[in-house]
Amino acid sequence: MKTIALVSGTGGSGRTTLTAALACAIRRSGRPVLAVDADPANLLALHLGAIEPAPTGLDAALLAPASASAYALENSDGVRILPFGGTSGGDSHWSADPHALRTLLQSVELPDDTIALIDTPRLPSSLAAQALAAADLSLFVWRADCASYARLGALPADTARALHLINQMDPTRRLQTDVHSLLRARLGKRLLEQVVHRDEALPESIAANRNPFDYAPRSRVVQDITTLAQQLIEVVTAGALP
Amino acid sequence: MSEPARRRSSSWADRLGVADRRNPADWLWRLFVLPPDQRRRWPLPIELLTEALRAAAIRVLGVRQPGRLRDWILAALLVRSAPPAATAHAAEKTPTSLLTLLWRWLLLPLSIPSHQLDRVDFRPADRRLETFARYTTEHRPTLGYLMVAAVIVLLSICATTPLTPLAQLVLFLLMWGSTLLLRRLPGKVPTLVMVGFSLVASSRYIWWRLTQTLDLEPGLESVMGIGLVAAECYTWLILILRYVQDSWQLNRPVAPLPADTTRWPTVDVFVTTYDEPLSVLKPTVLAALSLDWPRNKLNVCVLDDGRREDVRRFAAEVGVQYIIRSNNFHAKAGNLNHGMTETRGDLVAVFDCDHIPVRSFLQMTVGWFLRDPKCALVQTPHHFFSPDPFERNLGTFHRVPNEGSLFYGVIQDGNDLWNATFFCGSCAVLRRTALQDIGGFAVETLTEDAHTALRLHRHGYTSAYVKLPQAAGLATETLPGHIRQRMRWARGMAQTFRLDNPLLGKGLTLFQRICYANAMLHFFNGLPRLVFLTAPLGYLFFEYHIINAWATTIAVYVLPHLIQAGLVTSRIQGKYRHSFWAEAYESVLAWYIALPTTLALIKPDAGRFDITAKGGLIEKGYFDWKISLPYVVLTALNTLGFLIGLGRLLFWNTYETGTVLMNLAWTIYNIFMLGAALGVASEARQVRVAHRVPLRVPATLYFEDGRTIACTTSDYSGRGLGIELDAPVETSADARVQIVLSRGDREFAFPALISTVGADRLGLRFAQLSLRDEQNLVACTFARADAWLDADEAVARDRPLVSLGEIMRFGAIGYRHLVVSSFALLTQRLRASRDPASVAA
Repeated sequence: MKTIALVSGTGGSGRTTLTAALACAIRRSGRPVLAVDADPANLLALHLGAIEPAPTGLDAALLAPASASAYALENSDGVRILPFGGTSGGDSHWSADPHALRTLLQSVELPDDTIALIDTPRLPSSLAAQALAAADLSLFVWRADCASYARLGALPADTARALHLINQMDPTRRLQTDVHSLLRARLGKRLLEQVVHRDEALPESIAANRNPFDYAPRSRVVQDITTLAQQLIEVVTAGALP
Repeated sequence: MSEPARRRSSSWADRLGVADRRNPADWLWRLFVLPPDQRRRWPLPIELLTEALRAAAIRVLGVRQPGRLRDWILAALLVRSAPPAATAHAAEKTPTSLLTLLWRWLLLPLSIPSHQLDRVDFRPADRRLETFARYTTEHRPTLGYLMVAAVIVLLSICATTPLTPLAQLVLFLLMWGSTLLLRRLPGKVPTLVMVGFSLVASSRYIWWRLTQTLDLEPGLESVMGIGLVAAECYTWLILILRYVQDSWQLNRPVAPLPADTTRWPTVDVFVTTYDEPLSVLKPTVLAALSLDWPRNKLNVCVLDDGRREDVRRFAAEVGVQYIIRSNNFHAKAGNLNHGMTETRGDLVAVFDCDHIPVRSFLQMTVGWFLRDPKCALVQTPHHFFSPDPFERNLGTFHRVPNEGSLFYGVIQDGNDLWNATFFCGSCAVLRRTALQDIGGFAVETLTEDAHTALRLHRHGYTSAYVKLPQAAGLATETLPGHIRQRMRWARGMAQTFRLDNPLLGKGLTLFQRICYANAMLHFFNGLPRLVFLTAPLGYLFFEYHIINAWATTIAVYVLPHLIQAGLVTSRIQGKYRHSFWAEAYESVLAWYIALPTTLALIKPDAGRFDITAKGGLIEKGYFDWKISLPYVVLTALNTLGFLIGLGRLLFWNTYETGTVLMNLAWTIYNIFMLGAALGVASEARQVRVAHRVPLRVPATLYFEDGRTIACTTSDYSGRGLGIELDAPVETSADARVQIVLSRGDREFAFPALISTVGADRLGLRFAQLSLRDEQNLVACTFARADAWLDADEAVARDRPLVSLGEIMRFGAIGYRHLVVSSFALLTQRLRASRDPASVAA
């Protein structure tokens, strides 16, 4: 199993929506996929077809002796989901063991070619740090705005296995294209050339509780995510960053 | 059978079968001709036979309405009224299978050696030849000149050795057979061998003509005979000069620039304008601003000889230097020279105001100035994204190479080998110090560009030609405009030939002299072309034997000359000029450049600078009677000659059938060439002011509600964009959208309105764009580095026989236009004479 953690230093960068869409895209390319929700907000399952927030999940697995597989769900497209589960106590109990997430993920029994995507809370947070440590590849998700540019400096030092992605890109806004150029100059090759554009198709499909690939197959965002999924699969299976 | 008894009591009109009693013509007609229902019948077998023949004729000729005489005439002229799409594809069809089979069977003996030759790799020979040539030119120039002398001696021997007609025929068959084998092989060696054959065949022909065929009667016969032989000598001379110029093209690579941009020179980009509208100038200036070059080393200048307020305001708005002067002396050359006094860059890039450069223009050209300190000029091709009058009126755009592509595809590249690249007035970079050294741009002639280059070469500077389209512009719109432009070139070149003859004076190498001489002499083709278009009439009208020889003897000399030259020309130029098109282009211009070139030779200082109009539109198709008058007259003469020739063939000159047939064939060829010229004169409708350029790149369409469509563009213009869709979208005309295009790794959005909604395509019209948007739009479209690189890809390769067929078809179409326009003109005149009021209304 290969794992990709989706992290970001700012809020509202669209991690959860992107994780869900990427999971769909990877599943559609024929590979088994596991979408792991490591965010106490517990929204990922809702993005993948669940009607109600999942009551139990990763959080419960931390305390229970059983394998995390017991809490996994599967949607009609064949995407397996490990929700975070309802919680009231935040994520402070996760800081006791810095490798708890990795241990839990290792306990999941899935085919070897599975790709796991981990949705995380905003950095800095212990769960996001655990996800970064557990993942084969970290994907930093940014919006092309000034806050993102400011937050770049506060990144974790170890970014050898990290790639950066511009999400919700709106080319009709001059500022965004300018910040994009700045980020490109700053990050160089570690910034993926493929961006994911802002597109109403994504929120609309979630509101309609439908898969975006069926809802708006010709939209820009669907094309973006399909290409991005292909690139990420290549990176994690080849084990080498571009 | 009729029943006259029943009709005896009725009126005369009924009896005669007059349909319209008030029409006297009808009465007259019926007095002599029976109405169809009273026709007396022939005996049955003859009836059946004529009926079958008539039906067959209708089917084969494709007569539309067999009842109308006009349709029969049109059909007899071999004009099919096929839809335009079908005509466009007709050229791709292979010739009739029977002919092909016959042809293959004829060439069967050649198939065995040709298969053997296919296994030989000729590339090492090519490489050796190139190494040897380089060694000779660089280290042993004397050896080179000795070889030229040896070639001349050998050629003279080959040309002057007397042979019997039979031996001459055998020689021709041997050369022709070898050429058919050689033309299959790639590389320079086979080309040079073929050139050798062609030189032998043509020189033998000219020698024979000059020594054996000039035994003429004094009077008009001598005048015509000597005129013809002079015209032939001219074409022979041009042929030799052209072989020197074209046989070996340099194909110069791009010289890379150093990585350190501080070593890059500073450049002033001059955009010259006089009275062209701002909408034509704008994209060029915006593209010049987007050139990939360090900002502090690039200075864009608008040189406005029109001194217009809106241009000045635009220049200030986009931040480019605006240069004007108090007079318009020496037109463009004077404008450029004045521009030089106001700027200080190391290099000067020159653009006509309608040539839009691509972003990589300077990076592709400037390298040669750094590599070669004597380099004074780097020229790039002129590419046109709109059809010229030939392409538009004949429908050959993107299919048959246009008139200019020979010059930029072959001639300039051949010139470059001999360090004789010409400056073409636009899309070029020049070195300031070199220009100052020769006293600025040449102002003495109408073609300041070629004259400036000539001066640079005389002063020992070198030049370079980079055969990459790095700019594109509008072609001349109408035939008169096109002809006016060519007339100006022809006059300017003739002036230069008189005032600063490249064959004389200091500073040029032998081959530079040849290249310049050919470029200038080439424009004197008007008179010889007119001679060829009328030569057979001397015999057909007056029975002058202006070539005093038997037709068969003429054939064994002239056919090798024509065929060998045709085959080599097709090999060297095929990609840039299809066979027989040179004749078509020259036929159109011949009448108009014959006089100006001759006058310019006699009185070189007469003549005015003329600027051709661009960016117009032709609202209604029409036939240009004024321009085509000389061709109508020539056509009438040739047609008359042809009819008389038929008489000579059948009745009056049966003792010299060969001579009659030869002259008839020549006349037919002329008639078709003239027909093509008439076809060009028939101006097709042109509806778009902004020309659409095909472009297939990914794009995104943003609707107002945030939805998007990932799509591909199909074409663009300065005003709109076409989009291909794989399925219909829900939208309506006039919906506001944003279209996102990318340039490199940056994306740009442009506001637009939906103008047309189709099942698989959308038409967009750009909304009000800010100047910044416009600049980005130009950068994403016209100024893309790869915008014109594959422009030649769509052009079909040359197949001489197919090309001949195509010209003949265009000839026939030209006559259809002529006939239809004549009918239209006649009816219009008739109606006007009958009822002047209705026409005025």
